[in-house]
Amino acid sequence: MSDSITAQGLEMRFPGCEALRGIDLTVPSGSVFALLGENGAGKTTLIRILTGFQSPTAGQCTVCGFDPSKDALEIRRRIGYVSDQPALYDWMRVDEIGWFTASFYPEGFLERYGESISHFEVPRNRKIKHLSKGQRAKVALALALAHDPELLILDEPTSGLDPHVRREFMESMVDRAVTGRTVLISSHQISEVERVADMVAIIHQGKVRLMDSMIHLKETVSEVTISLDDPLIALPRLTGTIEVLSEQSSGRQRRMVVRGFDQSAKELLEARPGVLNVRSRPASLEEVFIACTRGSVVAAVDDDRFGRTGKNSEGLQPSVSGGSHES
Amino acid sequence: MNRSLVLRRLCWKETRQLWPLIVMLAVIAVFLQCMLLIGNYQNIKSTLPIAFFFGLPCLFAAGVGALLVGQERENRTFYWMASLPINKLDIIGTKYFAGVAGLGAVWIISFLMMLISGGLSNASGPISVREIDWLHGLL
Repeated sequence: MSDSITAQGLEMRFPGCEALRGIDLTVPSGSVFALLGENGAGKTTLIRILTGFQSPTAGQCTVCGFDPSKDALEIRRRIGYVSDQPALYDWMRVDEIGWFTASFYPEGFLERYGESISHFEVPRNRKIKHLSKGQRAKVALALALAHDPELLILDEPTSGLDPHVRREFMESMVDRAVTGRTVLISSHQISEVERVADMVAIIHQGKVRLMDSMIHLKETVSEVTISLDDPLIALPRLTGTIEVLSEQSSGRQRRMVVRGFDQSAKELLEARPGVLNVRSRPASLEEVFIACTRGSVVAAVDDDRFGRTGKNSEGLQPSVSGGSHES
Repeated sequence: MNRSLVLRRLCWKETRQLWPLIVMLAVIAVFLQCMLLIGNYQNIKSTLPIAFFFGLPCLFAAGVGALLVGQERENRTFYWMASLPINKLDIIGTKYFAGVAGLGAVWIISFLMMLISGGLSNASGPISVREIDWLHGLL
């Protein structure tokens, strides 16, 4: 299976701001790929680079096998893009904007656009300015899908939409992936992408903190709760492939989101004097997201102090708040 | 993808975007002509033809940039256009063409308006000798 998007060491610096600080990303073809990150994490900047709107300060990337800084036009022929607030010409009617856009794509665009508009039940003769926000989003999606793009990029596509429209929107993405097309969804609405995404990447402060398949992520990341008889007890260092993504202390309980937590690690913790109980359960994507996006780059320094590895093939960086460990 | 079709559609869009400005100028011109017809404004009757000749194109020139570029930036439609497979030069070129063609059309219309208003303000002819001399001096 080839890759729809590849990025190596992408950096983007604006005056007084580092939007991207070395992004490495691979989006396999035929998948629904979720790009998660809090506001200002760098998602939109990354998408702007991938679609050729902006040139990166450093690094390389390819989209559908083309370099966006050299072949932006070719990429735009092959992709569909829906922004967070689709800005369409207000004065055009729904059928008029399809007719206008059809001239930039091969034959068959207008027919498929018409089918989508009928499917979404958007009135054809109504002006864009008289449509609801949900209807506008549907028109933007119909325009982005009408040339049957190899890759569909959605930047916060469902912000401001009601749950019915959101669900319909997301389910149509799964249908596309089934037909071998790729969908890249940028969002901070975790629950909605959790249902549809095959792969997920979490961006925090311009870096990819975590990239994995959704299935593997759910299998390997656990939320571990440790009950202690004294809150000042130092826990043993978790070694090997185990990565502590975040840790919080609350009274005599310590909560950690851990990747690769296994029975031996549980036994190691339970064997520590003062540890009353160790419970683990699979972490939700939201918990993983919060674990990856809590704290800042400074936390990496703390991480060394606590003797944790901080290593991760995708550059995962744990964050720490409270708690103590032996080194 | 047919390039001439692309250019035609882009021109259609630009023309439609200019439409409000053209309508506004037409309303101003008609309003001033009506004022000239029904009112007794001796002090402006002699200057109105010249005002038509220069005023309407100046208003158009001031508004055309705001409509074709400023409005698109403000409404973020530029970004949507930029996401389509269109050569940037085609977008810029059609905007430039629409602006220049529109300005040319307004010059022609304003010249006709000047002749008409000259005729209304001067019973001896469609335009006063003083105005023709003034234009000759300019050219």
